[in-house]
Amino acid sequence: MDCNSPNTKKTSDIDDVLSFVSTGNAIPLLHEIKHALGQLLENNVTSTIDLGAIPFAPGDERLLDDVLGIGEVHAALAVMGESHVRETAVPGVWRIDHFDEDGEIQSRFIEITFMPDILKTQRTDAETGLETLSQRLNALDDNR
Amino acid sequence: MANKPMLSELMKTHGISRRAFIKYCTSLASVMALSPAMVPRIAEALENAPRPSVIWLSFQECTGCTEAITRSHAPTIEDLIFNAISLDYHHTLQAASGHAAEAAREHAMKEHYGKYVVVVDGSIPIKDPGYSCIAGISNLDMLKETAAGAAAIVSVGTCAAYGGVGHADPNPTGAVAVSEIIKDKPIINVPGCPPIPVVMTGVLAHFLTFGIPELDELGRPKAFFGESIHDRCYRRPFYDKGMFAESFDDEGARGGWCLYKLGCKGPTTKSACATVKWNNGVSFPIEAGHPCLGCTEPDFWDNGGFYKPLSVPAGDYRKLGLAAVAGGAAAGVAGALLAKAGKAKAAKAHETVDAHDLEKSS
Repeated sequence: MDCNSPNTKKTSDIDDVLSFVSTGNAIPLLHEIKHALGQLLENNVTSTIDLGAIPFAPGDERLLDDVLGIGEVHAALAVMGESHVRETAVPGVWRIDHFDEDGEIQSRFIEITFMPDILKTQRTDAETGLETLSQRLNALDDNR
Repeated sequence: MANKPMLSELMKTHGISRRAFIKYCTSLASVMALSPAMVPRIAEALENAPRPSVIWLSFQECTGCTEAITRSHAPTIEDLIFNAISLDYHHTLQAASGHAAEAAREHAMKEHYGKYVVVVDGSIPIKDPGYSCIAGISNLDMLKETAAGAAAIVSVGTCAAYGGVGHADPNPTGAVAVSEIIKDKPIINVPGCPPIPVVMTGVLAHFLTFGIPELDELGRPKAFFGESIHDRCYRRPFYDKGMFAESFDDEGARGGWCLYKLGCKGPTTKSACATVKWNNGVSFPIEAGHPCLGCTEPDFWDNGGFYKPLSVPAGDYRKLGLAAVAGGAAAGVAGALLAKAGKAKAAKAHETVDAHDLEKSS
């Protein structure tokens, strides 16, 4: 095989072609997001969509990204690997991507909410925090 | 092992936050194909789950299943779940050997009679029980003895689930699946050669949280084996457009086109490979450029050749399982599509295709 043959497509060309491959699932998903956003505003009902449960091709991803855009908030969490929580340019619609400790994707979600739960401090963590702070203050007192 | 701390205590000991646990449960829900709304229930169930004793029996096998599960994202909370499950016997992993190891198994059986979980990898030879023994006990005797007090059995890997390579023609040892011997216990089949590590841990997590999962006609959890690889394959759009790789180094292969003509068994194979993937979610065989072998289906070794398209008759060797028969409809559609495309289409497989062509043909 001659890798330099003019008939051999460059990787970037192939990526470009692939980026147009679509399953057609992006448009219905966007409508689902629109409906969920309406529910959030009318009834204060939050929704989560598992992107891993939907057949998606690169073209669908591109359409989703293009329509939702990038918003004002981007939080990076260090919790057993990174997690990225991004508000899209459609406020109330968030992209949440969980990675493992090797940087590999674990799961991907769209949340329609005013504040994703993963960003909130969990009660048990706050309780642990209180214990930790108390211990540190005691240690300071002991050292005086 | 009976005095091990609960999962919540283990998390605290290891400095793992509740937020991290919620993240894990969220990803677990995704892997188990459960609604994200189930996350609080998964978290609650995992925290309060009793820690069943697990006895892992390895019979006529290659140790690939154990190799796979020990490479599951270590060290993560999955390891904690394994600690939370009291793994009381696993002759490959445990330090004890010989009579000491068998004593551990017997102790666990006696201590947790009626409550422990038996995990089996490997087939059981019944032509002559002497073909495979552990500490002088035949696989057949050990399975019957251990299964008697089990709450449930998880058959891990295609060998335990369907007989696997040992069962392949001409089956010299008379290898059979666990389900052909044990008839009075719930059996969960987790096939694969080997199964995806996170699917194995996911099934155990499901058992811990919600009990026996919903199973398909072949005893597989629907959450992981409910859909064909083909239905979830990122190359599916190429299949739908009739764009197939004709060899392993042609334009189509390099461009990521469908591997159907190179023997891909994705249309008749149910597994989570295309979504969960392998090696910590890096890739799966089709993404690496190789057709699916169909290793989660019964008798995949004897299905007529790994590199023959499904549309090519396999002769007397084809022994498709029920799921494969169901998937035959998809194969029929593909066959018709190929016939329609004909020789001229094959000749065009090497033509340059741009985005506009793809859009026009969709």
